[in-house]
Amino acid sequence: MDKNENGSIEKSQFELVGKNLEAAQNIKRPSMSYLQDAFRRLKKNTPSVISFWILVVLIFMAIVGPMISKGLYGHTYRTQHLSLQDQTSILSNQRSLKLSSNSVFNYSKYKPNLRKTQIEFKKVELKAQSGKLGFIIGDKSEASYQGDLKEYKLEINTTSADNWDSIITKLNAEANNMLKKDPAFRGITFKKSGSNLFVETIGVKKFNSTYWLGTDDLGRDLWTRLWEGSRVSFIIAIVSVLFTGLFGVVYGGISGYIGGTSDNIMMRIIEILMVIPDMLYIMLLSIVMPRGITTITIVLAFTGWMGTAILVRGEVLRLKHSEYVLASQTLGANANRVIFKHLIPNCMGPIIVNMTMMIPRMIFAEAFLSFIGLGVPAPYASLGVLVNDGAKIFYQYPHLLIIPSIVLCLIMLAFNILGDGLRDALDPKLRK
Amino acid sequence: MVKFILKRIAFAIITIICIATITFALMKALPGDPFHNPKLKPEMRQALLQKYGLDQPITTQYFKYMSNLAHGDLGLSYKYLNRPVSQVIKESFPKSFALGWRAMAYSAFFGVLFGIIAALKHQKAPDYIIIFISIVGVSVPSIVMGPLLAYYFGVTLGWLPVTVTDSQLSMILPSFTLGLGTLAFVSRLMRSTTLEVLGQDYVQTAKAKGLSTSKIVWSHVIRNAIMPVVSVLGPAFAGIITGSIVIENVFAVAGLGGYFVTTIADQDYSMTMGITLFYAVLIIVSLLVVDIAYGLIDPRLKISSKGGE
Repeated sequence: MDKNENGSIEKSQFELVGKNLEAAQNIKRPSMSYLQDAFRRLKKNTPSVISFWILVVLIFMAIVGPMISKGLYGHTYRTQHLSLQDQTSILSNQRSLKLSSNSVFNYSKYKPNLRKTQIEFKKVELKAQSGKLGFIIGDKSEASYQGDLKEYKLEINTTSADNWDSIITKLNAEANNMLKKDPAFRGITFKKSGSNLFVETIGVKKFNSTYWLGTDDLGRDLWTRLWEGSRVSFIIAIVSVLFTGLFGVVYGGISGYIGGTSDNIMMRIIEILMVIPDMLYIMLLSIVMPRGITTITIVLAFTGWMGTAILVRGEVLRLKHSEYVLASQTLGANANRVIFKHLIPNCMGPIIVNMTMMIPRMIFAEAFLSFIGLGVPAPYASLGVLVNDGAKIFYQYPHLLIIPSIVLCLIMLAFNILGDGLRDALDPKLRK
Repeated sequence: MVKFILKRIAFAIITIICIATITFALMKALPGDPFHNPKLKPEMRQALLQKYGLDQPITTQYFKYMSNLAHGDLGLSYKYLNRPVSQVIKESFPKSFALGWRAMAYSAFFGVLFGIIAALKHQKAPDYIIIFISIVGVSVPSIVMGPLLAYYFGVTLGWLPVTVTDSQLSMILPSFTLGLGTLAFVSRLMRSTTLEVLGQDYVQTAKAKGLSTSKIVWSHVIRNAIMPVVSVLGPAFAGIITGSIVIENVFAVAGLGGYFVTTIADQDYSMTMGITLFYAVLIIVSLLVVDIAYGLIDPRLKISSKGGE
């Protein structure tokens, strides 16, 4: 804007715009519904967004994962290859090793690794310089990649002139000899550091290209079982939560809206049911009903609805004297319509939060049932079944526990964080 | 106050009767009867049915069952001859209890402590660490936590024994795992209630009067913030009881929870139901005790009940 010489603003510089009624009616910013607003707030909550995407990925994998391994290698959750049991995702063709004859040295501790491809003798001491020292390398009965049905024997004779250095040299020389004769032997190294003797067979490590995450004790593909199990767990949790939600909403809605004696009786029933902990119901019902995925879903659905019902009742009690309810009633709407068209949609926020928080509880309950032997029956997999099977042989094959546990914990963590985020986002008190 | 207590007790009794009835009905709903074995001669079968009172009409059986329960008799095992359920409970429950009270005590104490620390250091490093611990405690199931802890502290580091014997040291791992969920839950609750109390006017006043932080926390904050925590100790106890079923199996404790899983595998239903009922009564009684204790220590409840129910 130009200023004239003395710096003051002249009246002539202004122009009358007049009233523009149409423009006044325009809404510049798009109007936001409650859910849009909540969603916008949720998007600002980084942990929730990350949790959401983790869940999306996990659910996607639960659907697609088993298909991939089936399409590529024909694995299903129940195909067994007993000869390929207990593989990890890294394979090596090192041969197994055992001491066959030893009249040379004493040791305080004999420490092989899991597959016996290396052995450590702690605190070795020569007891007699002259004698025989032999190892058996490989195993005739080993048919997997880890061996090829061959067995070798490495043996040296020591004389009284030998000390540790010369014994080690002799052993290594003998191993080189054998390797020259048959390259399939792949070699073996002997090392002595301090007072410990360390023996290891040589081999190549490679990624397990058919069983990406390894196999379990029956030679079933862990990758397939993991995602198949996640799918079963997700289905059980989500379906049972939907049922509890549905039943809780109907029960709580009716109880809150009608009020009076019916409300009183309905709430007393819930109070009695609430006192008994969920797990006891779940156990009792699972004992009586035939084992299976359907049973677990029904049982879990039966135990979770009380919390939702109390929540919905509270919300309905709060909302039922609102103007829009009165308006609807005046226009002749019956109870059914008022409850399900007006009241329930208005207390959807807390219900969604409640259902989100319930899913990890259901997954945990399923794992618990599998643990005490009332879970998904044998050939089927669920996360609970996998974790329990893994826990049984954890010391030998840690991957069978750790991999399913990671997925289980991720699901629980993600749902808990997402639930927290949703609660913050849907809380009208925080709305600006 | 008396009215409140009586009402609670009446409620607990009704609940126990309901559960006993449900248990009885479920037992009857089990497919087949326990002596349905084609090898069994009819007269032997009859004798067995008579011994367990299963030849009577169902109403008689029900009243017999209820009166036995009232006398503390939970019935006989169908699997092992002449082994009463109450005997098994008497033998194995003390071992579970030894684990349970330790878990409860440490998780309640550290839960409260962590909650206060987190609230005092709101949105600083200790707060985030404690929130992280509580999220992990809630999200990592004990089935996973148990073997992992046993492996690292018991096998890799070799600090603690992995199976439970009579020594105090062997109790550490199982009770720690057992209490972890409660610890997480209590510290989270304590944090939020403490934050709420810290924002109250009387805390501001105390601060303005120049009281030290420790004095404020001890005599103003804890007393007010701990009430909701007391009220959740009952459910927490229930959680520890069901949790012990898992933990006792992970750490090979010869307690009731460990035995419970065996009865399921054995299909010894009368035993399973008996133990379940025992758990239910235990939980209901503990909820009742917590409820009454809460009523006794919370002055607000006293006033409101004086004002007329």
